[in-house]
Amino acid sequence: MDNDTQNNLALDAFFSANEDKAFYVAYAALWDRESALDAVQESMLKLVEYYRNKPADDWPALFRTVLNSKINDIRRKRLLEQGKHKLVSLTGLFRNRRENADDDTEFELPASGRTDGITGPEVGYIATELRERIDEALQALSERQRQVFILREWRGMSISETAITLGCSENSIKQHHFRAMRELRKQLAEVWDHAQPSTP
Amino acid sequence: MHNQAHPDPEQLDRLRAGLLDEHPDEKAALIQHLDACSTCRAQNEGWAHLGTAQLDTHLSSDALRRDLQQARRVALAGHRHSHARTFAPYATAAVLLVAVTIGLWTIQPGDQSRPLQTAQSIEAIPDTYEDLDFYLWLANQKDSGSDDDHGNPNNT
Repeated sequence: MDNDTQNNLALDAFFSANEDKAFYVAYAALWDRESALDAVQESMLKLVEYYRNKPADDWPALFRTVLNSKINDIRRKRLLEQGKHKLVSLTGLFRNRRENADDDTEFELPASGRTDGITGPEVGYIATELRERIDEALQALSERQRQVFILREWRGMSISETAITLGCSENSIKQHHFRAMRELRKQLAEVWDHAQPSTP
Repeated sequence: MHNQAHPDPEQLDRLRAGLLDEHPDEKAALIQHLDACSTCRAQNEGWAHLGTAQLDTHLSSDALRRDLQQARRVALAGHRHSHARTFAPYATAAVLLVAVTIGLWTIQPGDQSRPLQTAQSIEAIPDTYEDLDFYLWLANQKDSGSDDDHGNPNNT
């Protein structure tokens, strides 16, 4: 087996072990599935293209740096696009089209998203509203709090694993996690009973 | 069952975040309470379920795994493309070198094809040279004829 093939196999194993964490780091920062996937794929490409011949021990730190840089690039592009949209809305262009689009969506019923046979509009509405509230509350967190919360709670990662993934100290992880929970508790006070599972 | 009062939710959050690692007694007491109290346990474990709505809707693990596998394949295949990109300039240079060599060999002075072409082109127009004397005579005749016209006294 030649060096190139061995290198490819090592990279494949490295990505396979880290792509999931990388995705959730990007997702917590960008809050969009497709953008997060783009960030991960472009970071992989960059690591393969420029750093594949570096020692494998350096790959995690390099991958994290490249991923953060890609996240910033996507965020910058998004801000530029938002700026363009604001400019367009100030000039009044495309106003008619947007108004028509609003008209089209006005009479759509919210999807229930349940598979247990309960498909009444009220249930669907509550589920959708609850999801939106949780989404808003998570978005209201700082980026670091959101990343820590998602890695710790959704992915079930340990404190040390989260610290390595995000490149910060364990104490910092604990603080961000606690602040995220405190903020979410405050934001979701009204819907907390719905958001929590029923007591066994 | 337990006979203790429920702890402050913020204390449970501290425990969950790991902030009580430096306070083993407090941590042990809370853990003991959680073991006995299903209400507090449900509240404490509720954090992990908070994001399930999002996970269910568009972060399904199977679809995500497939997409990430695809991204990995594209990235590693990109390396093979980058190999092709690296060798492309060398390949182009080699092709150009061959083309220039063939070109130079074709137009070098000692080549036999050029004199042959010149001889063929000369042979292709022998009539022009054969009748050259006639054309010269005709030209002279025209000149002398026009002189005669000018000298005709009837024209005046």
